[in-house]
Amino acid sequence: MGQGVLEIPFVVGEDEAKCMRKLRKHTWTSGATAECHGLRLGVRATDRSILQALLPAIPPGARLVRSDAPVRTLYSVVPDASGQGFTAHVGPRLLARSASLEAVRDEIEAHVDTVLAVSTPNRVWIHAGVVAWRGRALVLPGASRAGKSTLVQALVSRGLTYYSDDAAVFDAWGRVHPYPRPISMRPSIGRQLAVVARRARTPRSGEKAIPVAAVVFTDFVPGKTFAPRAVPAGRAVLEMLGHALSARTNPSLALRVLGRISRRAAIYRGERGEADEAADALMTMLRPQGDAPRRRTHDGRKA
Amino acid sequence: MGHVSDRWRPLPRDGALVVEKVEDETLVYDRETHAAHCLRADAARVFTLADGNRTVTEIARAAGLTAQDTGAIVGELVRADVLRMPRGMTRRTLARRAAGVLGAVTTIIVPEAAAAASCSTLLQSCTGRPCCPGLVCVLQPTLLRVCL
Repeated sequence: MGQGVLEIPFVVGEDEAKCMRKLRKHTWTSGATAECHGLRLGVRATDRSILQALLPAIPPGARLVRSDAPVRTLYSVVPDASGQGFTAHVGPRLLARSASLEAVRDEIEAHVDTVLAVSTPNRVWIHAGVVAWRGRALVLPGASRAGKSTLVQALVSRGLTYYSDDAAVFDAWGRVHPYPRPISMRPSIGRQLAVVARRARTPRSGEKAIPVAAVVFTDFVPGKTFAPRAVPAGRAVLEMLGHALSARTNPSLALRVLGRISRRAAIYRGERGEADEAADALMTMLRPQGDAPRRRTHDGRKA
Repeated sequence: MGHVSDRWRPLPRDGALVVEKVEDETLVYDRETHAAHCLRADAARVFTLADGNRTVTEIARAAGLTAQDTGAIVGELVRADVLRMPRGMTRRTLARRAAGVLGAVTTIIVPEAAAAASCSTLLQSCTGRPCCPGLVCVLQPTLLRVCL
């Protein structure tokens, strides 16, 4: 992280370079460059306190590197001329403008996650919550507002290790890597007055890449009793592709990795009611006879 | 066999397909359309045997299926665009002939990264990701797009 007049080298095309000129009028005094999954990102601000507020947007597991290292994605945040809010650009493009620096940070964070998902080589990103039990992962893919974070929170409170509430990052061997951003609990649509999601503290999280024990597709449906059913392996890959963030950029890798996971892990689908009830059922599923989860046979029955 | 010409030797589409076998099913990803198809076990066998050297009758025999079922599956595979369309046949003709759809192929369109990511809530920016259900992305006078 730097202080003083700062220049983060930014790799740009000719058109972008023209658009970047308007950002040159600012005096950038603070900046940070981080590297994560082989990708380098930069954040700069005109004030150190702004940069401090933005640092949580840097991806978990990233390491800070020298600010003179060239970056492909550069976020620039300045206070508005009116002094009423903040504006963020990604490269030359306007990304967010808000009275709340926290809201700007959330926009940068979401953008960082998407950039990482589509740009990191040898990784497959799925929109999913992930927790671990005895060194094996339970992956909960789901659309936004399916209740992933609530369920992850309930499982963590039962002693499972936190890995992520929004992104499952798989390597070429099908192991899932930790991506522990703070658990983000959004207000329901009916009570959507708060602009920024409420963030819990990041629970103690896993540090190693681990194999997947089970993948459970579940949505919150009020009053529903959780009774998950086994999903055939091929259909499971198709469903995971529906939540994939990076499948379009490298479909061969996505099919190979998701296929490997589906062959080895138990895959279930079922709507759920309250998170606590589903969490208890998942705990039971993970430890039949006090041990590993049951595996599926080729015809979808449980062994 | 009644559904497609018995002189025709079905052949997979060139180039753009990525194929992965998962247990007895087969996943096919189309790089051009970003459609992903899951072929049920019988359709996976037909797809593997459709190498341009066998007629539909021969495929049926090798796959252990009836000629009628094989014809319907071939029709589904052509409509999913993983097998080439027979010369001189339109999609409409094929759809009519391959009636009695078996559900042998399930297809999804793989979302773009932003669409698969978390959605934006009220007053959040929708520049890089879509709005949550019930909200629409509106361009503000500040040139920023927000969910309302």
